[in-house]
Amino acid sequence: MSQPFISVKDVHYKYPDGTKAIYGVDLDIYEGEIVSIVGQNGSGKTTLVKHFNGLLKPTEGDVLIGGVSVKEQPLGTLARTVGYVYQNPSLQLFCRSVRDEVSFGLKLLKVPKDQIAKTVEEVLETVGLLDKIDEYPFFLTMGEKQRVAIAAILALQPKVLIVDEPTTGQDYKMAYQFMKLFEKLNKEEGKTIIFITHEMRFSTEFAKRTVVMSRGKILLDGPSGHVFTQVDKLKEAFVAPPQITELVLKMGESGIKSDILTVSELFAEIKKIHKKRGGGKWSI
Amino acid sequence: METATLATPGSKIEYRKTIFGYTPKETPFSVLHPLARIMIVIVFNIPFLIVNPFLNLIFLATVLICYRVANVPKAYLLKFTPFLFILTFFLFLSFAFFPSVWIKPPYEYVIFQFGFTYYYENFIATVTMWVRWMSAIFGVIFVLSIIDERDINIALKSLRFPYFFRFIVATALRCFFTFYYDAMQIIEAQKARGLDLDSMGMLRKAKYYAAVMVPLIMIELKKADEMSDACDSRGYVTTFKSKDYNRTEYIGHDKILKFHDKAFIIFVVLFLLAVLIARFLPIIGPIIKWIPADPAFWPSLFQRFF
Amino acid sequence: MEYIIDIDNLSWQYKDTEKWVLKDISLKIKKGEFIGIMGQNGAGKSTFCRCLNGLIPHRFNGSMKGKVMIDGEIDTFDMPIAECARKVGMVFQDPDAQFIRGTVEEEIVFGAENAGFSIQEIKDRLEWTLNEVNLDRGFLDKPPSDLSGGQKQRVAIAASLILKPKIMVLDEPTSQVDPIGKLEVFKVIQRLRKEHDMTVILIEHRSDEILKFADRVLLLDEGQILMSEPPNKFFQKVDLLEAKCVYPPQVAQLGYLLHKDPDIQLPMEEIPVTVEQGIECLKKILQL
Repeated sequence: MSQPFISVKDVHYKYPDGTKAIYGVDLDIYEGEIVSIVGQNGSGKTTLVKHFNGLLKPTEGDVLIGGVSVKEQPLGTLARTVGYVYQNPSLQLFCRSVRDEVSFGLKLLKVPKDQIAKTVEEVLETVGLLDKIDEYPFFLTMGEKQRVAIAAILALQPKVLIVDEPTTGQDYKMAYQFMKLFEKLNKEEGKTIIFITHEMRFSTEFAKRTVVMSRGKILLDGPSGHVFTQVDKLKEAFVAPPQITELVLKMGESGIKSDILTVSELFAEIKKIHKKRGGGKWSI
Repeated sequence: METATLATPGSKIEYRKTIFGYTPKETPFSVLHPLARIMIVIVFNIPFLIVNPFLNLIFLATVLICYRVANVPKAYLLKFTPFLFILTFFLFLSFAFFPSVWIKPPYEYVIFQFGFTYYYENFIATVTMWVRWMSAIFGVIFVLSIIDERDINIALKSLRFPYFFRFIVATALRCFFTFYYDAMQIIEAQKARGLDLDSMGMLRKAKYYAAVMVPLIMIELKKADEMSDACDSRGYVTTFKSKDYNRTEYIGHDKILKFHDKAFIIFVVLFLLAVLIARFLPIIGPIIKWIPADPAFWPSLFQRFF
Repeated sequence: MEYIIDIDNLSWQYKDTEKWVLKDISLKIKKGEFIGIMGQNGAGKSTFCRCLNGLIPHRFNGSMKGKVMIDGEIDTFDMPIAECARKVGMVFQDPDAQFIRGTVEEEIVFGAENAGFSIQEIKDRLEWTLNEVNLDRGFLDKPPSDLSGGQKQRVAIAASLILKPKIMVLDEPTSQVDPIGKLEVFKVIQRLRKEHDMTVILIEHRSDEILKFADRVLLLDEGQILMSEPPNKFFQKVDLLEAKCVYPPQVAQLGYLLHKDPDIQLPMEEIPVTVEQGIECLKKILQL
C-alpha cells in the first residue's frame, strides 16, 4: 500500500472570529484517485479542501501533501502541486489574451519563454481552446472562460486538481463536458481529482470514491456506490442519492446488483436479467 | 415561522451590526435620534480649537467613558492600535523637525541630542497635538459603532436630503465593505494560479495591481447591473423632481426629533460657537490657548497636589 | 378565457447585435399555472424573464416586436416598469446582488415605499409578507451578511411579494443556495400557489422541483419554444433534452435506452421520469 499523497490528520479548524468549521477530520487521498466531496453548505467541505493547497492552515492537527506538512511549504510551491479551480472564473481573469492568461503563472515562476509557449499550447489543446489563443478573455462565453481558468491552473502542472462545484449554474452539456475533461486528465495524465458537488449523479458517474461531510465532520467515506446506499446517514447530511442509486436500492430483491452506479450500467444489467428471464418486447 | 438568532450565541446582550462592527443594540445612546448621535462627532473634534492639553484630556477621557457606557467590545479598539502607533510616530517626527506655532523658537530645554536636537518644547507640542487627534479619532470610531447605515439614512432625512441622494450614500458606504470582501476573494483566487500577493512586498504588489483591479471592476459592474435590475423590479423611480413621484418614507417614520434630541443638537452647536468665541475673550482665551511651555511647571504641579 | 399572461409573437434583439435573442414567441398562461422554463445557457431564458416585468423594453436598448399583455390590461411596452412591478414580482439568481439595502426591513418595504402606500398599509403588508415567507420579526434588523442563502432568497421573494403581485417570476432562484435553503424557498412558493393562486414562472436547470410542481414545462432554444408539455411528458423526450443541453432525469435516460432497445422497445409514453415510476416500469420488464 503506497503512501497517501494528501494526508489529513485530526484536523480542526477555527475561523478568526471563533466559529469552528472542522471538528477533527482524518482523510487519506492517494495519487490517481477521483474523489467527490458532498454535503450541504456549512458542512466544511470548502474549508477542508482549502487546507489542501495551503489557503488555510489547520488550527489543530496537520495536513501532509506529498509527505510534507503544509505548514512548511510556501503557497507558491503548493500551487504547483495542488491546483484549485474556482467556481467563478471572473475572479481570476485579467489579461489581454488567453495566451497571456495561461502563461501568467509560468512567467511568475521564471520558466524559459520557449518552454512557456509549448506548455501553453499543450494545455489549451487539452481544454479545447487552442483556436481562441489570441482572443480577449472577456469576450468568451462563460464555459470558455471557465476553461481558460482551468488551463491557467493546468499550466502549472499540478499533481492534484481541486474543483469547487464545477457544475453549479451550468447547463447539462457544459457540466458534463467539464466532468469529462477532469476524467481525461485523470486517465491520461494521472492527476488526482477532488471535486465538490451538489449534483450527486456526477459523484456516482465520475468519482470512484465519495466523502460525505456534515457539520464539520466526515460522516461517510468509501466507494461511491456503497456510500449512496447509506440512506439514514445521507439524510443526516441532507444529501439525497441520485435517482439510479435510489432506484436500485428500492428494487431490493429483484436480482439487480446493488453496486450499480450509472444509467448505462443499470441498462446493461436490466438487459442481462431480461434476457435470462426470457422476456420479450414490452406489452401493455 | 423561522426565528432569528442572536449574533453571539450564549450571550444575554443583543448585538447589532453597526458601521464599525457588532456592538450592543441597547445603549444609553439609543435614546438619541441618529442625527443627534452623529453630532457627537463634532463634540470630540472641538479639541482642535483648544490648545490646552489638560482641557483636551477631559474630552479624551469623556470619549473613553462613552465606550465603556455603550459597552463597545474592546477587541474592536485593539484593531486600531497599529494605526495609532503610526500616527503617534508621525506626530513625533513632524514636531521633532518643525517648530510648533504655540511655542515660538528659540527653544531652551534640551532632552536629547542624536544628530538633531530634541527639545522639551517639541515634546510638549507633540503631546498637545496627540491628545487632540486621539479625541477626534476615538470620537469618530465611537459614533461609527453606535450608528448603522439606516441611521445615516434617517439622519440625512431629517436634514431634508432627497431619497435618491440618501440611497446613493447608503449604497456607497456598503460598497466599501463589498469591494473589500470581493478583493479578498480575488486575492485568494489568484493565489491558486500562483500569484501570492500576500507574501509580496509593497512595490512588487503594486506591479500586479491589475490582477486584482480588473476582476474587481468586472465583478462590481455586474453586481451594479443586477442591483439596478432589482431596484427597477421593485418599482423604484429615479427622479430629481420629487413632486412627480410620491414615495412613502416608512423607514424611520417613527424616529422624529424629540425635545431632548433638539436640545442636544442645539447644545453641541452652542458649545462649538462658545469655544470659538472664547478664544478671543480676555481671561478664558489664554487658558484655552495655554500650553505648559516651561518644564518647571510639572514639579510645581506635583508640589501643589502632593 | 382571460389569460394572466398573453404573449403574442414576441421577438427581441439587443441593440448593436445581429442575433434575435427571442424569435416569435407566443404563449398564453392562465391564472394559477406553474410554468417551468428550461434550456441551455444562451437560449434566451433570462431575456424572456425580463420581458415579463417590463425591464425589457424599458431598461434595455434594442428592438421589440410583438406584444406582452399582463392581466389583460397592462401592455409592457406602454406601461412604466413601476406599474408592471405591482403585477409581476421577480426574484433573481444571485442572493447577494439583489439585496439592495442594508437590513431585511429596509429591503422588504422598499417596494411598498416606492408604491406610495400609507404607513399603516406598509405596516400591515410587512406583517403579512413576513408570515408568508416564514420569517419572524427578529430578522428585520439583520444585515444580509447574517443570513443564509435560503433566507436571503426568501427576503427577495418578500421584497416582491409586498406589492401583492399576481405573478411571480423566479430566475434560477436556488442555483447558488444550499439544499436546505432550496427546500425553504420552494416551501414558500408552494404556499403562495396554494393560498393565493399565484401564477409562478420558474427558470431552472434542475428537474427535481419542476417535476414536483410544474403544470407545464417549456423548452427554450435559440429564442424559440421547442416544447410545451406537462412535466411527465416533457422529461420523456430524452433525446431532445440531451441535444438541447437540459438535464434529463437519470430514470428517464434509462427509460429512453429501454425504448430504443430492439428487444424491449419500451413505448415513449411509458418512459418513467421519477423513481417510483421507474420501479413500476422495471418490475414489469423483469416480470417481477
